[in-house]
Amino acid sequence: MVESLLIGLSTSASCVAQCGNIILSIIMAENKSVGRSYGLLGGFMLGRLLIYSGISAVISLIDSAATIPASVTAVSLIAVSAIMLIYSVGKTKQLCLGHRFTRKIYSACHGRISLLAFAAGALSSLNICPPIISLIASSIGTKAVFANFVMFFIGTSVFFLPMPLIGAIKNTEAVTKTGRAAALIVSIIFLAKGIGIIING
Amino acid sequence: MNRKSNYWGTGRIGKSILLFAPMMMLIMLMLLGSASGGDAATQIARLITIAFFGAMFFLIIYTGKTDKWRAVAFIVSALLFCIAFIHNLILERGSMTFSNAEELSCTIPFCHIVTTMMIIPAAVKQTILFPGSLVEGFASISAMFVIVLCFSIVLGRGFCSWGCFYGGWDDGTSRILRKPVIKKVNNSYKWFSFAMLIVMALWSAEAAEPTYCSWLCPFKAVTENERIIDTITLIKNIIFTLTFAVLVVVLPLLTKKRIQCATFCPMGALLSLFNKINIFEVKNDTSKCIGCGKCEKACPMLAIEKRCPTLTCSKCGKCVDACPTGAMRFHIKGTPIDKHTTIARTLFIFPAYTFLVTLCGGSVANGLALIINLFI
Repeated sequence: MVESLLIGLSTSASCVAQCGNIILSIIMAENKSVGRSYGLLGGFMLGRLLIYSGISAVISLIDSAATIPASVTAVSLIAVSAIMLIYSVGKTKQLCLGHRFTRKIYSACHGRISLLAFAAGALSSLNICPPIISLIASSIGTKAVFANFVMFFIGTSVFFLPMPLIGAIKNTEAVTKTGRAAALIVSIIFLAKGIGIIING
Repeated sequence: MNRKSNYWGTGRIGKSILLFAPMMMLIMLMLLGSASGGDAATQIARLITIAFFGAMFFLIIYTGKTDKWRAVAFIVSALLFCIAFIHNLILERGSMTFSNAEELSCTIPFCHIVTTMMIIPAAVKQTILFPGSLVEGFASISAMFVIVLCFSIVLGRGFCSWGCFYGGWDDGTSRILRKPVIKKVNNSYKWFSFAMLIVMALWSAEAAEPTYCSWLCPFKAVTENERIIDTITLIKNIIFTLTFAVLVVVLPLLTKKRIQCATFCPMGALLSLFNKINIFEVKNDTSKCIGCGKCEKACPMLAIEKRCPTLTCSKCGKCVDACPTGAMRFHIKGTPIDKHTTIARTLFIFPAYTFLVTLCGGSVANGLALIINLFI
């Protein structure tokens, strides 16, 4: 378990680099108080924890590294991309491509931004990234797979913790507009990644 | 009110020469100090470059028009920089393109934009993304870092209009038409560059490569780009060409705004943050402002809101030139807005112009020499 915590801590920066821009753009675009922003982060983290629990359960059952097929990763990345696109475009009031469609979906989720953060956290955790591969390799054959994943989750969460402090910035217009634009860029990047995985098999 | 009276030395040849002389000496020192020998074309090019930069500076001082003459020097610098740069690449490695192996062995030139993508990897992963070059003939990574830090502190985002050897491209295309085809551009688009800064910095940390440079930079189309060997490099080159065509040529042409610099460049966003600690700013003297809105229309960086320059101001001076009452002016923070205007302008223009000549002077002379060589 200590090893899993250390893996999490040492790869935390990679997790922030990989998934940090998802939650950071949502936090910025919402620009709520620090407390509400921690609520959004909590939703995102809960999504991650749920998927980690699922993966650990599967590993315990089949005791194999082949837990996440590449196709699942590709679909999850495209799903994250769709979520971020809907969030970014649906939130804007200006008329733009796909505005009506995305705005309808966004309106349907109105008031449930934490749910959106939760979904983004869960889907992004299905990604086969180097930290997850390290953890799976070290967990196979051990009896405390779930505990290992929890410790890993705690370790990788360290660098996410300061993000909600952005809610303390007073220039709300600048922060929210930057956040929306960031969500749009993130959606394009994740879409390209997902398509790349599908093309490369 | 006669707006020319705002400028000390305007129309006064003696005082203009007094201010021009030290800059001329600096220009000569920079362009002749380290250079020796060379063929006739090189020497002629150096003399023309000195005369050109000297003349532009004199006209800035003498006429009181900042942006009009700055833009000439800036646009010519950008064009000749690219000519000299491409020629240098062909001399050094025989091609404008580079391979992945050359990138990994750090034999490609270092660009200031990459610094925006080095911050997060250096801070959280203790990894320095190092696409810079230590090969003779190109700026070393340490030298470039010192220069970037210096201009960030001294000029803030002023670098985007006074030193960046790419900025002249869309500054040039944004001036081709007399009137914009797309008349209204939402100022909010400027926040997109901040989003680019955040996402590119994080993405670079994940990918362990400067992702903006590898995938998006429009100026790859006119400097250097990855050799097309597979589908990925083909896609990259298509993206470079498209971003250049759309962001540097078409949109600036139609809007008369510097769309690439104002909305896309992560370096511009980073430098905007330095505007906070920079002592120079462009400010509106509200007691003289008549609310005509000419400053807002003129601003190529989408930086003026409600007739006040904001964080993203690049201090190009276009709004200062456009203001009919002289309300918009260069200002030193902490000093009264209605006093020392000319001193503030002069104190800003000296270091700004020095950076322009330092960063682009050599390239302009080299590019000019190449053109002269074509004719003699």
